[in-house]
Amino acid sequence: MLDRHSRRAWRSSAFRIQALAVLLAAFTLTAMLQLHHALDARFSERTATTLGGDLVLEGSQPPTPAQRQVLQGVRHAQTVGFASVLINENHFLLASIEAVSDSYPLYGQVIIANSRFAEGEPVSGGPPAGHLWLAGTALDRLGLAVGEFITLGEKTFLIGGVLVQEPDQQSGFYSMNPRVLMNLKDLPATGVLATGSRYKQRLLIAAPAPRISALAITLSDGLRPDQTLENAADSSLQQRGPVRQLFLWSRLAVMLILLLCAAAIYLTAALRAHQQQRLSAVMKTVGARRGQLIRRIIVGEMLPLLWPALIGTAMALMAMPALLSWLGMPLADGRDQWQMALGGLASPLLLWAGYALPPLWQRIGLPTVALLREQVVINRRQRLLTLLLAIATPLPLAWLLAGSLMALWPLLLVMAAVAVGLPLLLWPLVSLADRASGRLSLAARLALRRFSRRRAMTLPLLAALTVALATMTLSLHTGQQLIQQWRSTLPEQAPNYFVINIFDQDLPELRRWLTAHGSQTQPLYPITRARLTLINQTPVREAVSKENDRGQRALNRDLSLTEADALPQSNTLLSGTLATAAGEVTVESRLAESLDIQIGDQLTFTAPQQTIDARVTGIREVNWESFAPNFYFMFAPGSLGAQNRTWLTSFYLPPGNSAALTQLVQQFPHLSLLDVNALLNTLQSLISQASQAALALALLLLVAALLVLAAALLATGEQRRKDNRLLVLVGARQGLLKRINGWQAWMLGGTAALLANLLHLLALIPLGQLLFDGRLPLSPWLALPWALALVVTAVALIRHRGAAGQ
Amino acid sequence: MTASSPVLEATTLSKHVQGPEEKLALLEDISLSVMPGDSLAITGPSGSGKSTLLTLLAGLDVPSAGQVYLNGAPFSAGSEDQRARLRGEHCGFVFQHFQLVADLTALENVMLPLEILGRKRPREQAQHWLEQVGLGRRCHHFPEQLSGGEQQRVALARAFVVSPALLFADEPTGSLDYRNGEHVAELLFDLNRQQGTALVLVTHDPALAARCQHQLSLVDGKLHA
Ligand SMILES: Nc1ncnc2c1ncn2[C@@H]1O[C@H](COP(=O)(O)OP(=O)(O)O)[C@@H](O)[C@H]1O
Ligand SMILES: [Mg+2]
Repeated sequence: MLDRHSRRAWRSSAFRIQALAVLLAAFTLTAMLQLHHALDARFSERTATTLGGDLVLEGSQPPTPAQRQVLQGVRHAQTVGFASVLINENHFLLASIEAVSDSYPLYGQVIIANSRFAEGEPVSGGPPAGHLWLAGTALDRLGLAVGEFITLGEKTFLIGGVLVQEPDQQSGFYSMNPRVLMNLKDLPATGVLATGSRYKQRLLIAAPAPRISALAITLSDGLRPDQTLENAADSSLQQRGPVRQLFLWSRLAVMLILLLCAAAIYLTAALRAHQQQRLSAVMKTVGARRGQLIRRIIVGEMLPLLWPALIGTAMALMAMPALLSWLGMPLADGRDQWQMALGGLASPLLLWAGYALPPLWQRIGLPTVALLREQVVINRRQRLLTLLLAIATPLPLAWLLAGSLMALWPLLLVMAAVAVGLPLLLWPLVSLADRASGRLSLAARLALRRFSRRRAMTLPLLAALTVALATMTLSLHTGQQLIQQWRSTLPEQAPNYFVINIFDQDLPELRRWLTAHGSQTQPLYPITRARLTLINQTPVREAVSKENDRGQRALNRDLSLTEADALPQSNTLLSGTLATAAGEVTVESRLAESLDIQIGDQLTFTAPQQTIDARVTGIREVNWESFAPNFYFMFAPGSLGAQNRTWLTSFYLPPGNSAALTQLVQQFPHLSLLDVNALLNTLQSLISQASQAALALALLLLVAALLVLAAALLATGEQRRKDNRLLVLVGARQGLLKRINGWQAWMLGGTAALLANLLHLLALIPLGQLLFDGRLPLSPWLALPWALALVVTAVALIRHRGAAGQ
Repeated sequence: MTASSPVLEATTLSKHVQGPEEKLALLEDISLSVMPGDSLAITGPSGSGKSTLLTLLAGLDVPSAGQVYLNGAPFSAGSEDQRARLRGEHCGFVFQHFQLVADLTALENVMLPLEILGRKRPREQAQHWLEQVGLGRRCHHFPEQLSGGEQQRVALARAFVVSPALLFADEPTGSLDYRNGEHVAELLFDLNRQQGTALVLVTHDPALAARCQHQLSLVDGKLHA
C-alpha cells in the first residue's frame, strides 16, 4: 500500500523536492549526531587519559577504607608518587618515582623502549614486580642500560625498559627529576615509605558517565582535607578554545540546514496542498467524511515521505562509521546508534508536521464550495496557529542537537531576527527599486516586477538564501581561520622536545648545539621555583576560598617563575602593560581571576633562599594548548635572583635524529629531555579532521540552499509559464523570455550574494573581536556566493524552454 | 497589401496529435481566407476544434499539414521567433479568460507589445487606447484590482495598440455577464469598423456570430458549410 501511494506521489515534482529535503534533513541530523557523539567520546577519552581516569582522588595519605569500599566492582588503579634516590655504585640520582598497581593504566598505554633512543612500543600495564622502567635521562646520568640492576632503598631492581611516555603524563614537563615507574607491590620492600615524607597518593577510577557522577557525589562527601577529587567531565577539552567554537559553528550550520529543508518543505507543501485541493473537493462532493480526508493526507502525503527519511538515516548510519573509522574516531555503541537513528528519522517528520501539515489540514476544514472555486480563506486563528507552530517546530530539533537550548538560543535568536528583519528592511527598498526601474531594459523590468509583485514570497526566500550563504561563507571563513589559528599555535615544526634543568654554565654550549642542528628554538627561560605567599601583604590562603580549584592548586605547589622581555607568541596581553622594569610581573588571566589579582597588586613569593616582591603590571591570556613553554607569572628581566636558577627551552628536531639527541645528553648528562611527539601527532590529526568536517558541513549547507531555490522556482513555475505564454502571444521572442529568466535568477542570486557579503562583514566585527582579537582578514570565500549566483543565472539561461501555444 | 489580397489565408490545414492509443485528428482539411477589414465568425459545439484552429491561424502552433499565409507570406513555415515577430506586428488577441500579466498594471500590459516590438512612445499610445476602451482612469491598477469586464477591455486595448491587420478573439464574452459582454462586443465591432482590422471571432453565441460578415461552422474538426 505504501508503495502504490509512494509511486503516485513521486510523480509530482513538488513531492520530489519535498522528499529530497526530508532525505537531506534525516541524513544531516543523523550524521551530525554521530559526529558529535564521536568527537565527544574522543575528547573525553583524551581528557580521561591525560588525567589518568574519569575520576581521580588525590591526597597525601592513602585513601580511607570507606573510600575503597565505594569502589567495589568499579575499574580502578592506585598510584603512589614520591621523590627518592636511585643508587648505582657511587652514582646517586634523585628521581620522581611512581609506584603503580597492576590495573594501571586505565586509559592509554605506557610506551617503553628496549634501549636509549630506540623506537618506543606501547605495552599494556605497568612494570612487573622486581622491574623498574627508567626515563632515558635517568639512565644517562646513572650510566646504566636496560638489563642492568639498580637499587632503590633496600631493594635491587632489574631495569626492564626505557620509559618513553606515560599516558597520564600531565604537566610533568616541569618536574625537575627524571621519571621512574615501579610496581606498587614492591613499594613496602624498598622501605622508602616513611611517615612524614611527601607522597602523592592517587586513586584512578574508570566507569561509564552516570556511574562516575554518582561516585563523584559519594566520594566528595567523605573527602579529607588533604584530598582533592578531579572529574574528567569538568576539565573536558571540549570546554576549551577552538574546539568549543567549532562545535558551536557546526551546530549552527546543522540547524540552518534543517531550517532550509523546512523552508523547502514549506514551499512545496503549499503546492501539494493546491494540487490536493481539487481532489479533496471532489471527494467531499461525493460524500467523503472528514476521517477519509485525513486518512488520505496520512497515506498519500506523509507515509510516502517515510522512505526518504529512512534512506537518509540509513545513508548516514552506513557512511558515518566508515568515515569515523577512517578518521580513527571511536564509534557509538548499539544503543546510542539506535537513539541517533531515531532522532534522524523523527526530525524530518517533525519538520513535515510543522511546515507541511498546516496548509493541508486547513483545506480539510473548508466548505466544499470554497474548495471547488479554489478560494482559500484562512481565518486569523488558523494563521496564528500556523505561525506559532512554525516558530515552535525548530525548538525540539535544537534541543536534540545541542542537548540543551542554552547553547543555541542566541544563534536561533539571531537567525530569527534576520529571517524576519531582512524582509521588513528590504520591503521598502524593493518598492524604491521598482519605481526607479523605468530606465532598465524590458527584460530587467519584467524580472524585477516578478520579484517585487510577490514580495510576501520572494523576500522570505531571499532572506533564507542570504542567511544560508552568509552562514556558509562565515563558517568556511571563521572555521578555516580558527583552524589556521589553532594550527599556527601548533605549526608543522611545533617544538617536539622540551629541555629542562639547564644550568647557567651550560648556556653557551647548548646554544651552539641548537644552532648546529638547525633546530627552531623557543627562547631560553630562566626558572626559579617559589610559592606565592602574600597578595598585598595578606596571606593568600585566607584570600582564596576552599572551592576555588585553580587557585588552590596554584598555592599548593611550587610555581615556576620566569623572566622575559617579550610576550611569547602563545600569549596575548588582555590589560595593562608588559613587565619591563625589575620588580614587575604579569599574571595569567584565569589564575588572576581565581586569586582575584588586579593590576597594581603587590605579590610576594617565597623561595628557599629568597623572597621575591613584585607589582602586577599586566594580565596575559595564555593558550595552554600551544606547545610552547607557558608560565603563570612572568617577571621583568632582573627581578629574580640568579641563585638556584635553571633554564628551560623547547625546540623542534625532525624525527629520526636520535644521534643528535644522544650527543646532547652525553654532553649535558644532567639535562632532562622530554619527548612530546606522540601528543603532538594526536593534536595535529585532530585539527585536520576538524577542518574536513567544516568543509563537509558547508557543502551540505549549499545543497540545502539549492533545494530551497528549486522549491521556490517550482512554486512560482505555474505563474511563470502562464506569463511566458502571454508574452509569446503578444510577439515576444524566446530570447526575451530567456533574458527575463536570467535577470530573475541574477536578481535573486546576486542580491542574496550581496546581502550575504554584507551580513558576513557585519558579523565579523563582533566575531572578529571575540575570536580573533579584531585581526580577521578578508577571505576569498566571500566570492563564493557570487559564483553561486552566476551558476544559478547560467542554469536559468540554459534551462529555459519556450512555452508557446495556449 | 492590396485590397484584393487576403490578410489571412489557410490552405488544407490538418492537425493530428498522438492520443493515448491511436492518432487523433483534431482538424482536417480546413481552407479559409479573410480579406482586410472582414469579420469572420467560427462557430461550433464545444470540443469541435475551434480553439485549435485559432492557435494554428495565429501561429501559436504548427499544423500537421497545410499552410497559413499572413499578408501573403507563409506563416506556419517560419521558426517560432519569426512567427512571434509577425504575430506581434500584425495580430491582436482577446481570449475568454482574461489574459493579462498579473504583475503589470493595466497601462504596462497595454504597453507590453509596443515595447516588445520596439515601437516609439509606447506610454502615450497605451494611454490613448485605454481611454478608447473607457479605462483612462484605471491605468495604474493591477489586473486583480479590475473586474472581469474591465480586464477584458484592457485586453482589447492591448490587442489594438499595435494597429493590427488582424484580430483573433476566442469566446471574448464567454466569461462575462450579459451587460459586460455586450459592452465588449460593441467595442470589438466598433474598432473593427473604425480601424479596418479584420476580425476572426470564435464563439458559440449565434447572436454574436450573426453580427459578422462571414460565418463558418466547425463540427468534429471539419468545416460544415
Ligand atoms: N494537444 C492536444 N492533445 C490531445 N487532444 C487535444 C489537444 N488539444 C485539443 N485537443 C482536443 O481537441 C478537441 C478540440 O479542442 P478545442 O479546439 O479546444 O475545442 P473547442 O475550442 O471547439 O471547444 C477537444 O476534444 C480536445 O480535447
Ligand atoms: Mg475553445
